[in-house]
Amino acid sequence: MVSLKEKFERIVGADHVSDGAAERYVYSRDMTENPPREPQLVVMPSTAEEVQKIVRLANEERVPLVPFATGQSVGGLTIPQVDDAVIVDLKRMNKILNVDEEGMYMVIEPGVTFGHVRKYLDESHPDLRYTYAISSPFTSVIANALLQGLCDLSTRYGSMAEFINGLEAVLPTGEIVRVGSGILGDDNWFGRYPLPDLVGLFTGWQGMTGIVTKMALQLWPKKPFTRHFALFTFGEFMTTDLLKQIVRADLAEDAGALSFSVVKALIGMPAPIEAIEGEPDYGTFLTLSGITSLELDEKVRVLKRIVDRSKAEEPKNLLIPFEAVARLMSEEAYGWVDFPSDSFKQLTEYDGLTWMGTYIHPKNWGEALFKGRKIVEKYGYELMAFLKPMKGMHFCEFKFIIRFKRDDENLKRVHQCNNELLDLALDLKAIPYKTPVWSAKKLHERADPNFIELVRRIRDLLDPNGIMNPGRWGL
Amino acid sequence: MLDEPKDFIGYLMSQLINRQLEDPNLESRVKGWKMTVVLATDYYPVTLTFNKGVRFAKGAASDATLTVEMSFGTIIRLVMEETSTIKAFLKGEIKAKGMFRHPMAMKRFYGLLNAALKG
Ligand SMILES: Cc1cc2nc3c(=O)[nH]c(=O)nc-3n(C[C@H](O)[C@H](O)[C@H](O)COP(=O)(O)OP(=O)(O)OC[C@H]3O[C@@H](n4cnc5c(N)ncnc54)[C@H](O)[C@@H]3O)c2cc1C
Repeated sequence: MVSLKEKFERIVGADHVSDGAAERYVYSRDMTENPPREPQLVVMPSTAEEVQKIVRLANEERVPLVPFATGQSVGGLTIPQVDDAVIVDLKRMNKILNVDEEGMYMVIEPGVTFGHVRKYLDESHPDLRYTYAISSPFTSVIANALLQGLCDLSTRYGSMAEFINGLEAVLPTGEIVRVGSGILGDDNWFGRYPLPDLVGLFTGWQGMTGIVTKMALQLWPKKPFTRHFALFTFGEFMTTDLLKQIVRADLAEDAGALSFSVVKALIGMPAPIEAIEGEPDYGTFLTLSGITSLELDEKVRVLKRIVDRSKAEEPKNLLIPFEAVARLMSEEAYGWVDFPSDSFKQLTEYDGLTWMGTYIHPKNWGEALFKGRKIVEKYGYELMAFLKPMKGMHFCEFKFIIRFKRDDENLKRVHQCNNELLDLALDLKAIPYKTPVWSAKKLHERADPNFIELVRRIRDLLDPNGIMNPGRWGL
Repeated sequence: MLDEPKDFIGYLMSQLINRQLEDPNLESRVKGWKMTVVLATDYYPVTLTFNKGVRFAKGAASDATLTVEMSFGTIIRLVMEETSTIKAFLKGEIKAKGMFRHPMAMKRFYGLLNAALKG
């Protein structure tokens, strides 16, 4: 009888299937506190047709599949939730298929990373840019968009899912489908409308509704004049209020605020980092740009005026040109704002990394930050909040990152801390993102039950045999 | 030569001064200094103790030879060369206590600070 492994080998070749102990171990876990579970096999397809054959085989054999790009979601999202799963590692599908200069989009495969995109655009399309997360340069661009993540243009344009013009996916039943304007052909991925917007069948689903094999993502023209600033501020409410004013005035392309401990880590201070009384509470990196130097200068002038006005309440608020940051703090400072994906290595100082992150209504942002800080302090972890005003201030992001040593005591403590942070977030009606199962279940308890039922029905409709990432999102 | 402070300003100053002390001539001169300087910023004060090297500590030593008061904003303006220590001093953006009693200490510290902030 032909074994399952051999059947997969016939599809992708023997070199691209493994059931070795080392691979099963590596793919069973991530850096978070979420409990590991070993898959039975790992397969690495290189084309959409191979993915299709894998999915068809999985249906015949009733084998659960877990789509995997690089496993860096910080939510345990690629850890199988059931036994005997097969990991479908998409790294070999790493082609940038097309960059459409006029329509300003790129079409890429799921193994393409932020590093690939940055390098390729810089070399071949220097007038266009994509948006970059602070995750490592080797993480998947498509996975981040599917997870509705956030990047350095999110302050202006929103979550990365907003950048999707369309996609191609292998459904859980094996059909290859397209959504978006690309339904009319390969050179036509200009957008999602006017059509039933089925991109939503794939974003936010954590790989339960199919395997995306191709995606068209918006690019943006690089503005010729750009300046960066660091803004040091005090207090949670004052900081968020000031950010709201800056972003509502449409001055900044990006505003990424960090607990001051993160700033200290960035300038090279060794872990663990203490927040010292008297230091600013937050450092925000701001990017301003213009088509002319006049436009940029005017934005800078308005920014300075807003910050100066805030000094009536907090005289120590300080706007610092990045030239000074680079001279004073670190030569690498321009990297923090220019290509953040390659700059936040300090977050992986230990073997453990986790967070509780959410999108939240602007009115609850300051309170979430204030109370969240108390929780993290109670557990004795470093204060590492990340905040981003999103989509021109229509909503906000906040998360508390915890870097930790993975011993039993810490794993338990980190989980308790995240649990408390999640309760706080849900009390403030924030929606957690990249939710591990435990977190999704808590969301279900509070959410409109008809919504959860609808999600379940759609999932069952698309995946009648329940083979796509079963158990994910607590379903 | 320097230990690493846990606070932002102390760490920053230690890094900047450290860079200067890579010049062996300056390093051997500084090793001969004996003075305590409090840099009182609007965030908080740090104490630099020069005694066969430099040590940094958060807080203000009570027996300071010199106390130099300036905001972190002024430090940034010095770095950006939007002002100089002399100009800032004349405008009252830098204040110094102990400079008349210890003019040599003042000269040494300003010299080092200027060089450190200009990189
Ligand atoms: C230090 C650090 C910083 C980070 N900072 C950010 C940040 O600033 N912003 C941000 O948004 N994220 C951030 N992340 C999270 C993460 O890196 C990104 O979301 C990342 O781009 C996801 O890619 P991945 O390769 O890790 O996905 P994976 O973990 O491999 O996959 C994530 C999920 O998507 C599913 N999936 C993956 N590929 C497909 C596919 N082709 N089709 C269908 N389902 C698929 C998987 O099954 C899984 O559920 C950070 C991570 C780290 C470690």
